[in-house]
Formats: sequence, C-alpha cells, structure tokens
Amino acid sequence: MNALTVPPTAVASATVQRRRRRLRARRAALVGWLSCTPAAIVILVLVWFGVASTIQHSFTNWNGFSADWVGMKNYVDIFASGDFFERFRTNLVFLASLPVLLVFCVSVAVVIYDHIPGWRFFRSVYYIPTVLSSAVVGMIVAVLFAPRGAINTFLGRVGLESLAQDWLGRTDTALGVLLMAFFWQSLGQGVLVFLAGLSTISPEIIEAASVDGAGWWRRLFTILLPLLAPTSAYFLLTNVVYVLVDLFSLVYVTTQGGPGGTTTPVDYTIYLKAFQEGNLGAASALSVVLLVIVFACSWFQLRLIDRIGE
Amino acid sequence: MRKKNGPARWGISGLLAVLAVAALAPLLYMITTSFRTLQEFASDPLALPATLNPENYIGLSSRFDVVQLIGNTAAYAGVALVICMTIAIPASYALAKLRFRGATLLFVGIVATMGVPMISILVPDYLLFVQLGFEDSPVGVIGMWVARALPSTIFLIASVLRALPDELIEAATLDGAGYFRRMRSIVIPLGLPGIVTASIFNITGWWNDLLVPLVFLQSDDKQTLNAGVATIGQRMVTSDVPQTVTGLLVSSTVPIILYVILQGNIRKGLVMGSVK
Amino acid sequence: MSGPLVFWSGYSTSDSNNKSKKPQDFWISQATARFTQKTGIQVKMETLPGDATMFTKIRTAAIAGKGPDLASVWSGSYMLSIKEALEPMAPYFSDDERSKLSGWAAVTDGFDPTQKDKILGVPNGSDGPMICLCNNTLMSKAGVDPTQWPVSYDEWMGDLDKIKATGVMPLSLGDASFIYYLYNTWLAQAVGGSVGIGQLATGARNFSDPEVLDATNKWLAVRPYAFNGAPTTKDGQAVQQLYTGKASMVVGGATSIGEFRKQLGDAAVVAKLPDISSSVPHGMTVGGTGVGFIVSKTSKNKQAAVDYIKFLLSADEQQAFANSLDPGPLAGRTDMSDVYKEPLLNQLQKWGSEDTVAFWPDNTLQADLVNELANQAQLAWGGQISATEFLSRLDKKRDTLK
Repeated sequence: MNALTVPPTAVASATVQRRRRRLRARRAALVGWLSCTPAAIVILVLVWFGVASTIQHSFTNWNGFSADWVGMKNYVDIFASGDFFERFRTNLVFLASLPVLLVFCVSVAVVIYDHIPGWRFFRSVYYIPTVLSSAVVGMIVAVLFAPRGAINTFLGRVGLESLAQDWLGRTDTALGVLLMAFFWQSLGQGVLVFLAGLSTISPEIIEAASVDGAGWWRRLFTILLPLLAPTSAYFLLTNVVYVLVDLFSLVYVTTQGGPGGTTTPVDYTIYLKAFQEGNLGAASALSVVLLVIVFACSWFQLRLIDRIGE
Repeated sequence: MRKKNGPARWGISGLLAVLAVAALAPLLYMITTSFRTLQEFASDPLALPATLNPENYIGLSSRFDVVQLIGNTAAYAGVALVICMTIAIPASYALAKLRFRGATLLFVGIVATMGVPMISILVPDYLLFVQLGFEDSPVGVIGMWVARALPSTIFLIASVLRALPDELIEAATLDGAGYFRRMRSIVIPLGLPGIVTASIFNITGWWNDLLVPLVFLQSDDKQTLNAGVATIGQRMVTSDVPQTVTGLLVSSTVPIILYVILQGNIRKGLVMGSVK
Repeated sequence: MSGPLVFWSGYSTSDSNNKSKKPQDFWISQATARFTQKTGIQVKMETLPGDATMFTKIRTAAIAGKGPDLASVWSGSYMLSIKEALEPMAPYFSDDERSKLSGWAAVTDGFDPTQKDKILGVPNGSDGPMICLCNNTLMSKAGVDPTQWPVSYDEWMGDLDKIKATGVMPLSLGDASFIYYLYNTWLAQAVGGSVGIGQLATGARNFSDPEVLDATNKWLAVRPYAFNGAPTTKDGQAVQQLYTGKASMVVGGATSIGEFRKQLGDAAVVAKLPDISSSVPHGMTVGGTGVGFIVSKTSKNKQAAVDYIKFLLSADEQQAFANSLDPGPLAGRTDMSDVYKEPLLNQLQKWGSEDTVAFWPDNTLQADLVNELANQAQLAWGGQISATEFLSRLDKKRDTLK
C-alpha cells in the first residue's frame, strides 16, 4: 500500500484525529490552567506581591514610615563591606553538612527497612523530634549545653571534667551544637522519606545490599544510593531550602546568633536589620540577595531531578 | 523480609538503640524538668524531680486560658488545611498528570516560592491585610499559613500523583466521568496517603509558628498557643527555665499526639510509586 | 471615645514565686479596674512578649497605622526607633505634673527633656541603679565590708582577692550582667555619664579613647574572679550561685531583691560598684528609666490614654504597686520615698534618683551598635580578641552608622 492507494476515508480520519488531538490538548490545557488558577492567585498575591514590594524597597532607605530612593546603596553595603562570606558562613556550614545528613539518614533507613531487631520501634521514635518546633529544640539544646547545664554536669560526674566547656561560647563548638540539633530534628524526616524511596526499589536489589556480609558500606554506595537518586534529590531540595531560609527559629533560641554574632544565618540578619535596627530597606536588599541564591540552588537541583527522571 | 538475626544485626540494633535514646532523651529531660521548681533546677540541672510538682502546669494555666489558645490554634489550622487542600489538590493533579503548555514553568514557579523567607514578606503582607481590613484577624494568619504551605504541599502531592498509573484516570475519563467525579473517586482516594502526609507536615509547621500569629493577631484572646506562651519571658526578671519548658512542652503535645495517631498514614503517604 | 482603650502592656502577669496567681490578681489588672470604675473608660489590655520580639510586633503595627492606643515598652533608643508613630507628650502634662515624675530624658528624642517638643513618651518608674547584691556573711568572713562601698577599683580588686582566698568565688555573672550591668557601668563612668555615651554614639568621642580602653582592661581583669562562661549563662542561672553560697555577689538590680532577701535573709546587702578611676563622679551607676509609656499618633483616644497613664502613675496607685510586690519598675515619682516595706528597695530607689545615675547605654546607643557591642564583648570576655581590637571594631561599626 502506498499513499496513492490509501482509501479516502482513512485520510479523513487522520485529519479528524489531528483535530481531535488538538481539541483534547486544548481541553487539557484549559482544565490544567483552571486547576492551577486558585493556587497561582494565592501564591501571586500573598507571596510574589510581597517579593515585589521587597524588591522595590530594597532600593530605598525604608524604615516603615518614610522611604527615600537610595539606588544601589543597600546592595553596595552588602557586597563591599567585606563580610559577605561571613554572613553566609553559618548557612554554608549547614549546607556542607547535608551530604553527611543524607548518608546518615539513608543508612538508618536501609537498616530499618531490612527489619533489624526493633525496627518498628525505631521507625516511630526517630520522628518525634521532627514534630517539635525549632523553638523547643533550640531551648532543649541551650539548656543542656549551658555552662552549668546537664551535659557539663554529667561530664563532671563521670570524671570527664576536662571535656566540660562553654559549648555555646566558642564559634566552632556552638556550630557543632547547632548542627547536632539540626541533625536531631531532621533524622526522622529523612528516614521516612528514604523508607518511602526504598519501597520503590525491587526487593532483589535490596536483598543484594542487605546488612549481612562484608562490604555492606560499599554496596550501599555503589548500588543503593544511585537507585535512591530521585528520593535523594527531593530530600536535598527541601533541606537546601530550609538551611538557606529557615534557620532563624533554631538559632534565635539556642545561641541568639552568637558568640559574637558568628552563628548568625542570613535570615536572622534580615530579621535583625528589619526589626531591631528598623532598617527595612537594607533588610529588603539582603532578602533579595538571599532569594537569588535560593532560586539558583533550586533551579540547579530541579534540572538535576528532571534529568534523573528521564 | 524475615532474616535470621545474627550478631552483626544485633550490633546494628544496639547502635540504633543508642540513637533512639539520643532522640528521646532530650524530650524526657524536658518532661522531668517541667515537674521541678526553679530552685531545684538551678541547684542541679540533672537531677530527677524531688516530687511530681505540678506548679509549672498550674502557673501555665493560671496565666493563660490554655484551652482557648489550643482551640484557636486548632480552628485556624483546620480552616487553613481545608483551604490549602482545596486549592492544592487540583493544582497537583494538573501539574502531575495533565500535559499542557506552561505546566513546567508553573511548576518551577511554584517550587521556587518555597525559597521565599517568611521574614521578608511579613511586613508587606501585613500591610496588605490591614488595607483589606484584617489587622487583628484570623483571616490574616490563615491566609499567610495557606500561602506558606501551598508550594511544598503541591510539590509533595504532585510527586505522589505522578507515580499513579495514567490508565486508571484515563479509564475514568473514557467512562464519561467529569472533572469533579474524577477528583472525588480516583485522584483523592488514590492520592490520600500523600494528602494525609502533607496535612501532617503542614499542621505541624503551622502549630509551631511564632512570628505570623505574633504580628497578625493583636488580641490576646485570638492568639495561638505558641505565640501566647512566648510572652512568658520578661525583661530583667530571672529566667524561669522550668516554667518556659513547661509552656513549650504543653504546646508540643498536639503535634506529638497527631503524629502518634497518624503514623501509619505518613509512611504510606511517602511511598511513591508503590501503588500497583 | 471610640471603643475601649487598647493597651499593650509590658507588665508581667506571671509570678515565679506564686504560680497560682491569676492575671486579675496582679496590680495592673486591679488598677485598671479601679480606673474604669472611676472614669467609665474601658481598657482592653493585651500582653506583649518581654523580649525583643516585642518590637517586631509594635513596629509592624505602627507601620500599618494599627498600633494600640498606648503601650508600655523599653525606653530610649528602643522606643525612639518608631518615633514617627509616637504622639508628643509635653502638651498633655503641666510643668508641675512633669516635675513629679523622674526620667523624662529616657523618653525624649535626643535625651534632652528641655526640648519639650521632642518628648515622645512618659517615663514609667525606674529600674533603679545596677549594683552589687552581696552575701555579707561570706564577705565578712573574708574581712570585706561591702557597706563601705563604693571604693576605688584597686581597693575593690583587693577585696575580691580576699574573698577568693577564702575559697569562695567572688562574682557570678550572666549574659546580661557581665555586659549590660557591669561593663556599661564602667563605660559610663569612663566617659562621664549619659552625655559621654551620647558622644560615643555620634562620634564626638571614640571607643578607642584611652579612658575607655582603661575601663575595658579593668573590666577584663575581673574575669578570674567570676565563674567561667558568663556570656552563655542566663542571669537567672548565675544568681543561683549566690543563693547556694558558691559566690559572694552578683551584679543586678531591684527585680532580684525579693528572691535575694528570701534566700539570704539578713546577709543580704546591696552596694555600689567601684569607681573605675579617681576622676569619675563618685558612686556613678547605670540604670534609670528602662520602661516608658507611649501613645500612638494614630490613636483616636489620646486624652483618655494619657488620663489612664496619669492614673497608673499617681501616688496612690504607685503605692499600691509597691505594696503588691508585682514584678515591674520601681516607683519613679519624685514626691515619694520609702514606699517599700523592704529597706533594700527603698535604698535602691533613693540611689536611683540621684544625679549620678547614668541612663542605660544600651537604650542610648543605636540598636545596631548595641548588638555589635554585645557580640564583640562576648569575644573579648572569652579572650578571642584583645581589648584594643574590641574597641576599634565598635568605632568602625559606629562610623558605618553615621
């Protein structure tokens, strides 16, 4: 059969089919857009309008009551003041810890998935700290690590007096304590996410990476982690955003940004500039800079997710 | 996966047990601290309470109408949840299942919204609500909560729905089922674990929120539990750690109870792609 | 009048020592009830957080023009950060009424109350001076008599040596007392009081000046005489060392007196900090009016709000407040003295109204500078930076703010 011998009805069908496809596509587009409209409206009005207002105010010296145009001054202050990286140091430290957190959560998830003794109990218990607010987590940690708090008292009692120190009074140990609180809070969420991811992998492969036998660690890395890539991507995306944008509540209660302001993440700085100093213009500029960074990270990660999904 | 439990497995179990203690111990510490007086606590932060002294709980309930605060928070969270899901589910379905121009852009835009710090938009949004006449109203709190939760909710539910086999939905469409029928009979039931998971994540986040209720609500009787409890601390007055701990603990009970009840659903919800 | 008076109150309605006391049992609630009975004006009282988030709430409300009719907030630079939203108070007070209250400088833009149009609040009592709360028994065992204080710095350090030799830690300091009370006292002394602090803020004077450096070094020299980890210890925890006999004194103020007396009984003695040098006005302390009432410019009930303020600050009500022992400021009326049953409080109130009280430096300096001061002080106290570096960073910060 060739085109010349194709019966006329078949050709008409093709056109009708094309038209039907286009109609279906248009219907889908209509349904699609209508489904998304309420969400788009809420997000546009309540978030992006605020962002636009922030961008506009970043070029002024707004203090809430009056706003004079100052051009790029706020941005110049941020980039030329020489402490740009210091501002982001706390965020960067947390970012750098994410791979460790990832491996930690995956390991625990794998082991629980493998039904080691007590797995049901562990699965439940690890999530409880995640359910607590950052204020609670921060307070617990601050009370435990106070100079005469529980940890130092305990160390004194077991004869490890020399290890007792001013945990929150030195930047490195303060960051360590904060990271510990962050891990404590995030373990449960990570385990749950990876348990879900593991259930999408065929049991035989998991069998191959079971806990018994030598080389378990290596098998984890070479077999399981690549298969868990989509889950890891989801986990990393949500946690990267959290680490860049939401550390305020934890730090506020634990170290108040100290010692000497060295554990102050950027969103805390924004809070201080806006509400303590009343310099809402500078706070807006810093917000914009943070936004750009977060978008860059997220876009990069979404592209990765897309590529993995193929 | 029933396995024989050899020494290696028990060893790992032991390690996990240590981890579990680390996960629970601080919480237990808070509970024991809440039953101690300030003097007891200051003289020995590690000791167990001498007696089960309820004075901090009395202090909390004398100072606040705890029931009212819990009621407020639950009401706001409930309304916010209904609104959030009503908006998020159709959007998630569309972005996960329907192929149309601009879907990717929309999706990226929505996910990008997750990266906007709440602090940055606090003042502009409050001004907006004031202009609409809601300067001291739950409407402001609910609106902000919905806005905050929508992006991550859509992200989560869309991921769950994406794993659903298309055939099921197409079969329903060919059957002549309209949009809302499809939602009600197919999408929601199948996506329910994801919806429940997102609900729990959202309620936990809203329950623990401090700044939004603080700014958007001006009357004490409309306040949420967490924001109300935060007013305990005072300038230049000795910090009463057991009292503060008690306030935070009471405030945490609801998320914990919610989690304990709905544990199974969270796990089912995150299982992406195991619906056969 | 349109609707009830909306009052955002910073008055605490929870008492650590009596946990079953309900908000309506506190003086502020009862005084308000008396006011309503007398004038028929309803007052709707809402609480403010007691920490810095108070200003997040007030500032945002003020920006939106939806602030309360009146509020009770931290004085000085804290409240002046929203000065555009505050109603000037001078027109509402006669000269006679003004003279009966102390602390107007703390609520005036520029801290000079002779410039009447710049008075933007009403002073609410006084925090009193920050002083040493001493355990007389432990001190006399070491041969030290705090009732003879204030002495010179060198003599005081000698006293600390004597105390330490008996095996007792002389000082217990916390995150507020080591800087806001102790350091700021000597800083104020070094620059000659409030005027000097104001000069530090404008740049007419530098932190790196020799007298400030001298005071800073002397402050750092106190470290061996205090427990480790002051910047990360809450004051509430630090003071427990005094009560359990492990330390012989803390630096604090009137709010601690109640518990202080309860714990130490007759051994409870208050004394001023030493003079940092011989050129300092003898017995200079820091403190003053830490809290003030403000009335919103957008309020529709300004006169009623002021009437309410005057009622709360009246002699009768201030006496009732003093009798209640509720947490709050000391009575700041110039026509009242010896209002308290507790002699220590009367002593503090007397000291608090002397000329040698320098107004809180952290309520005078710009907020960002105060933040920097606290941050760098923590590093200096921890030995991570030198005194010179500490002060030069403060100068640098101040210069960027001009």
